[in-house]
Amino acid sequence: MKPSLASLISILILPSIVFAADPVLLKNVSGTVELKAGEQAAWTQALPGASVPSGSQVRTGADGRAELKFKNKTSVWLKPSTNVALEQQGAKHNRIILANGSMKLRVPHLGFREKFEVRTPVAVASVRGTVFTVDDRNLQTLFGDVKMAFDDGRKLDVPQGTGFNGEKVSLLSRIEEEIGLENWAPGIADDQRRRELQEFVNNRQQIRDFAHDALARNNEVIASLAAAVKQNDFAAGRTLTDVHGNLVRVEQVLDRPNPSTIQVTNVTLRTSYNFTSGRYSYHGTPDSRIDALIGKAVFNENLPTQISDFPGFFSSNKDSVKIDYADLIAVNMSDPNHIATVAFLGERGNLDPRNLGYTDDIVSNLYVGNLNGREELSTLSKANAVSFGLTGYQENKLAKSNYGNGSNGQLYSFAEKPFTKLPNTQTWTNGTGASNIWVCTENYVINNSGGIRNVSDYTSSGINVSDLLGNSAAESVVFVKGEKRIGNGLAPDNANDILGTNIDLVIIPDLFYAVAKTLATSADVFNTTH
Amino acid sequence: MRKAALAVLLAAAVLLPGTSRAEDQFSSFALQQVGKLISNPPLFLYEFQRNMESTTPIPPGKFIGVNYHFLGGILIIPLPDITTDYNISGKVRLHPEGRLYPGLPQLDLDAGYWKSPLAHKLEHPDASATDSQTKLTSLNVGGQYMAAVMSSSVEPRVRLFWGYKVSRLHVDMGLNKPSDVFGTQVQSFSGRLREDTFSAGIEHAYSDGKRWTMEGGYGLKNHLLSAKVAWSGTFLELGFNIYPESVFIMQPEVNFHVYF
Repeated sequence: MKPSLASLISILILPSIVFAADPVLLKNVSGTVELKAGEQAAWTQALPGASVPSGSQVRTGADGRAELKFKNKTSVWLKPSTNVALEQQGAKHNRIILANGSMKLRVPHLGFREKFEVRTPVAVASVRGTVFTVDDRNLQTLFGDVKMAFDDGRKLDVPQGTGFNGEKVSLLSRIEEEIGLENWAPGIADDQRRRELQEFVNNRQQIRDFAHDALARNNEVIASLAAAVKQNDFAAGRTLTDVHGNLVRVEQVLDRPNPSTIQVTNVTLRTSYNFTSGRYSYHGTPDSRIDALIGKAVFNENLPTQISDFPGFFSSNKDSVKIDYADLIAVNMSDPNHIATVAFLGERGNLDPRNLGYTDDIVSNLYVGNLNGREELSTLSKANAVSFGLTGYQENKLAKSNYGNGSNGQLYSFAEKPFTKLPNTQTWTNGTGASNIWVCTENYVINNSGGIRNVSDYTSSGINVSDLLGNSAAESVVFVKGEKRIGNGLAPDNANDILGTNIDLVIIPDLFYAVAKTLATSADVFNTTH
Repeated sequence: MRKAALAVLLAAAVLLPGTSRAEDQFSSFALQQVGKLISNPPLFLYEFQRNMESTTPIPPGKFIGVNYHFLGGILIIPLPDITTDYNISGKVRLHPEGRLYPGLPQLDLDAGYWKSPLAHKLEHPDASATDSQTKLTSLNVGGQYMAAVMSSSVEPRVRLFWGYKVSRLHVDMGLNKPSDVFGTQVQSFSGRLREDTFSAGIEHAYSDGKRWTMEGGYGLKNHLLSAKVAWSGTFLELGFNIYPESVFIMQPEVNFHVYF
């Protein structure tokens, strides 16, 4: 298409308006490239490094390519059979006229009030911080955006990734994009240009394949994410029915109060408590309640931040990493000012109860009583348990414990263990003459509807472990009873509730299942002999 | 209200004779949702706010955008959710890519606000402490978010973006008389949630005015993972949000937007 009259006028008049500036250079040429240094000058063979002053024209032959370099670091690449004129060149304003052919421009970030314009047969394109290609009618914006102004006063924006095809702005096609991103520098052989283009296309195809695979694997990622838990703080929760028919909400959290401590908290919430008949009598209230089980281990060294690093850490430090304190605390927090507590609190390096001196194992004792608030619960340890009002006990191995299981594979058991009160000196005695308390527990494995499970539920073939564990929970009802004599033996006194209530815990396997799935199991994870 | 909802669910589970396996699962799901709502109401409602939040960059050549969240929901089929009816969000481009300095990414600022008009329909402002039933006298649920999103081109039609979003949600509730909640007398409840989310994604323009985006995010305070795949046209956006910690992991969304 021939330049418009306005374009020609621009060529004739404007070259007389010249601002002194550093000249544009022909940075590189290949094939037939000619330069006309002024309106009256003749066409001469262009050489690399030649200066292109304002008013000059550059044209490439059928085999020619050229690269122009401006002082403001703008690069202009000319394809074969292209004719351009440097209409205006200055520190603040540069303008190129494309008479015919096609060229690619990379205009870097321009200074304040600095302009760069390209006049084509159809419009003037203004750019700043842009890479684009242009020919007689079309313009493709690769990066940045181009503002076009037409002779009839129309203005058009051609943003990144779009092109103007002489009629409207539309998304670049893949071919247009590839041609634009091709290496236009002169002096490159055509087969090398094709190879580079093919490599570029392959890279893009790799990106597309990656995006396709990422989308296609979404379901697999979702399933694994749904089973996985968060990195540093693990949590799980479920609503179900307990063995007594009460609606229960269970919340579990595994957290790290400090770098050397791991703590698992299992909280059981009930809006009401209907205790159906069991082996033991309940003498508490039917009101709403909160029961909790807290397990805590304090190590003698800081543990890794990521729990997935635990197996490697414990494996490589199994002789040095030890548990200093280990606590298992069961509480009924329904009355926040009188928290019924049954706690096994252990400490390493205590006197061995077998009178063997100090032992490196964890030595734990039972502590029973009421704590005065949640602050005491959060800081409870073996060292301060008595000062918090709890009474210490140790297992009375002279008295006979009672155990029992469900029949026909029913997953139920009970245990009755006698404990003797610790004397003030906290040393071992044989318990003679001291009164006992009995810690009585009934333990169930239940489903989400409160039914007691059977061993056969877990031994059937074709079961889905994830579904089965999602429909299983453990319930442990803990009573602390007084003692009565029956004949020559001792037994728990069902009518004597030491705490005045029980602790009814529902524990779900969700948290442990998720952690187990993300950890590589190790036989020596915890180095303790207690 | 909570006890009534639980009673209804329990009654439905007990009275419906010969409930099929699908109904058992639905009843179990309903119990899970109620349990989650009771244990942490703001966190439960935040799932709906996340469907409404948008952190994709403004398309090239545009300067400002306005967005309206139309449908969302916890089911596969998009439904009006709690943030529908009264929500608005907007984006503004502070500077385009490479304009101020070569290679400097585009920077957008996003913000949004929603409030639940449904909450007011559940209120009984005339209820008094002498009424026999416990009723809601006030309920105010809403939230807002702000985000800064940067985007950078890797190809003319492909951009990477990353951003930081601060979300806030509030639940304020008042009862006409104290109610026993786990041994504590409660007459009012005020819950707040704040989440700071870092997100990153990729955007690809595949047709005139159309693009798809893929985005992943992680909440730093509540440790919430999220992912989103969305297809956007000139005025409509259809997206699927993926929340691994939720019961229904995939949550759809339909938004309307206009860019200038």
